[in-house]
Amino acid sequence: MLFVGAFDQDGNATVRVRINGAGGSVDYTAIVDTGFTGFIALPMAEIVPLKLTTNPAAANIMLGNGEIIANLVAEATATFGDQTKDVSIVLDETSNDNLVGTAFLRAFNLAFVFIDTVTVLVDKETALEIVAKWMEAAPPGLPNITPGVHDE
Amino acid sequence: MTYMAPTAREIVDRGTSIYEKKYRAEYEGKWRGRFAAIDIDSEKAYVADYPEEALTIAKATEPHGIYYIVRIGSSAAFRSSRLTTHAIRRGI
Repeated sequence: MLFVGAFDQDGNATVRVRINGAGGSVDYTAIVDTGFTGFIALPMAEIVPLKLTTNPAAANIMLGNGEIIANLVAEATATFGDQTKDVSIVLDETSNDNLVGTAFLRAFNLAFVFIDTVTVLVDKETALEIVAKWMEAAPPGLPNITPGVHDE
Repeated sequence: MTYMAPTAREIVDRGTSIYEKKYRAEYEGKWRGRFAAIDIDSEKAYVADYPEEALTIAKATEPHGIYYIVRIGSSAAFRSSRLTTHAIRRGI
């Protein structure tokens, strides 16, 4: 199954994901951020429409420059396609971006495909089929080359 | 009397102290890479493969707990490639 994403005005790959809190469900356009190991990060203000728990949790987050900051973490569920999963939401006071990270891809069993003109999320079975087909054609021991197109 | 919810920094500082004192030596020997949710009041810890699982288990036992989430063996539960020090300056 393919889930077609879109590019935002800054060229980020985005997908639509539904977050379900005590206050109801809200659909978000979220940047697919493979540099973020969490599930989803939302601006702190989203705690209001979603009515997220008032007994929060918190965790350290290591930024790209090695600095560590503390962020609140809330619980909710996320719906993507026909699946709904428990999620930990990092509530970010420093950004207005909505992010889905590698935990999102892992939990929903998705592969992330990013090309110049299109971005899609592919279910695990389809992705493994494609990879297996590629591996059959790939020359052994030569990574990062196009099958059939390499120096002798 | 008004109840003031702890800030993220307060939860993390208290949770880190509990983790260092009670759990680090044991957990890092056998559960490196898994996640623990530590109740900062009862000081009980709940371990699972993923943070949302650890929180679900913890809240099933103590629904009103306030939890510090730690990735065992790591200084941060999550990593983000985004660069911002704004939160540090604001003392969150």
